[in-house]
Amino acid sequence: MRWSLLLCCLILFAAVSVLLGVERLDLASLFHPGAGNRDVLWISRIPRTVTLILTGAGLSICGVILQQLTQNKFISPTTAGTLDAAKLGVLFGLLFFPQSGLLTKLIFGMFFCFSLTALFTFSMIPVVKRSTVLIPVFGVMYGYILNAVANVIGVQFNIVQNMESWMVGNFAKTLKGQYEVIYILLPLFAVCYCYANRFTIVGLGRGFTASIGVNYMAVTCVGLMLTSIMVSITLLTVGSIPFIDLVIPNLVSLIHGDNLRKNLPYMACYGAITLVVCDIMGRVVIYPYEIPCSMIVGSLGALLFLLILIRKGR
Amino acid sequence: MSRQAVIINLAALLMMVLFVFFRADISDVFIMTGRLERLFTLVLVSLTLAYSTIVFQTISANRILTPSLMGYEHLFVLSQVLMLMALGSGSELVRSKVWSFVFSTAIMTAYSFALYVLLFRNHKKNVYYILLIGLVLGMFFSATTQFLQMAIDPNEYGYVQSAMFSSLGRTSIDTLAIALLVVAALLLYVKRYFRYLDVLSLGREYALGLGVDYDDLVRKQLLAISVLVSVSTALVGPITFVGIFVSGITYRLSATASHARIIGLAAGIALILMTGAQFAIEHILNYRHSLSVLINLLGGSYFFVLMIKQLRK
Repeated sequence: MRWSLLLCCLILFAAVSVLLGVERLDLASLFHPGAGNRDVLWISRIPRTVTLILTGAGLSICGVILQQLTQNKFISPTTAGTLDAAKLGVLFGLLFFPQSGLLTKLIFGMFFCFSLTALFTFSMIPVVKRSTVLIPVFGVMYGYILNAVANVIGVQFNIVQNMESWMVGNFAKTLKGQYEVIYILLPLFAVCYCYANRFTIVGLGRGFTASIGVNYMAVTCVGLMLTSIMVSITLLTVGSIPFIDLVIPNLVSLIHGDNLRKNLPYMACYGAITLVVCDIMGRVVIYPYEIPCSMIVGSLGALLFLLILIRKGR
Repeated sequence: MSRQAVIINLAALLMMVLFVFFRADISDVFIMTGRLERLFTLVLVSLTLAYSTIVFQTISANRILTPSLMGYEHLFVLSQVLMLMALGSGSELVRSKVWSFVFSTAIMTAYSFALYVLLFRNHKKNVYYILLIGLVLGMFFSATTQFLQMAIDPNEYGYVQSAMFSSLGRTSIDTLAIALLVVAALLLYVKRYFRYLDVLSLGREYALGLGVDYDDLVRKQLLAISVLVSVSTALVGPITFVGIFVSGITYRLSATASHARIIGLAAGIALILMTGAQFAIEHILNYRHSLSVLINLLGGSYFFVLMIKQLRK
């Protein structure tokens, strides 16, 4: 698809997302200072839309980086236990320092996310060539174990319901003053773009990477670090959004091929559009209430992934 | 019977006796019925679990996979939440344990049939591939469940939480009777296939060469597994990693390839594990944790070791 068309789509849906809601926004009144609904715009609508766009873009990029690092099209933060690792980390942050702010939780989340995902990625290196579907199966089971550990801790300290409600990816809680941390993603996108070619090389295997003089370990660690930071940040601001990181890279590579550096902006754009559309759907279906975005993404994403699986399985 | 089998059976018997009579007044009818009920449930679950896990692993020629990872558990929780949402916690149907059991079993059996028709019938499919699809389906169910939990108010959430983490308190005599009937009928039906299962573990070509109708047998066994897993999940809720734990220990202890013996041994080990865990919950942990949480942690860490070992090969 053409760039201009994609951007038009994104702007259109972003505009819908900004204007949609119980409190009606009148376009004309926005330009008059002092009008009441300017607050609605700046405190709720615009933060929400910005978060949606950045989260969608960030998660899609995370997905494609992890795909390259593990040389597997079915691996993403959803299927490699990364989301559960971040959840576990944030849970520990919540337990040990219940009073402290976002930064502590973020650091805990990042630390757990990075170390546990690295453990998974490096233990998968020897079996990379054996079977495409084996690795995601292991990854999902790994996620289950991490989740079980989180559940034990949750039951022990009686915070299961707190944990569950906070894990559901919900963009209604992104208000001014609470969502700003998502802007950290912007510089990270730039770093990802700079590293794109190196990620492609790593995706060709360890031996090849070494033979053309690229430091395999260093690039892998940078990739894992970027992924962990992005996943932890989105987890903290909105909760867990499954499957978008898995489906978008696969769809983009179906349409645009496998040139990672060229595709990264596409992935970001498609991811952002998808998430904005899903959020709009969630807000429309039972208007004036709303369904958390992650549920719609989870159901549709799982369905799409099943289709991709069946298509590749033939 | 081999030496290991004798030891395991004795240990299982000992655990059962301990479980029932530990610090109990035999004349107290309430306590005794409660304990016997729980013990009976555990025995049933051990049997279904041992059979489904071992046979599933024989068919998939792999000792890391279990049927409970095919998305059954999340469907179970989802079916409970759906029922609660549709009828409200005040409804007689939700409160009556028999009906919620029948409802869950029916849904999960339908799911098994669908899986079978869509995935298992085409025998050329890779088992990992099937498992991946099962796992994705599980994620799909859990995404839906997560959302529904948000919509439920905290008082009703208590009901869901008890469905999420298996607990023996939810079963009743009627439920147990139905479960026993289903399990007994099914085990009687599959008993005559034990000999063929031994041949099956040699692989498809050998089995066909030896005159076993491989595909037909696999289909029947997968069906039996589906029903058994449905029954056990409906009975005590999700216990994901107990199967992998039990089969791992069984294969470590026994070198025999006879399925009748292996399944017996596995059932004994499962029984020891589960009565032990339940005993610890009742007398040491003071009912703080539920059975599945405890067993999943134990089995999960075991699985972790097993996975790393398998990967090193």
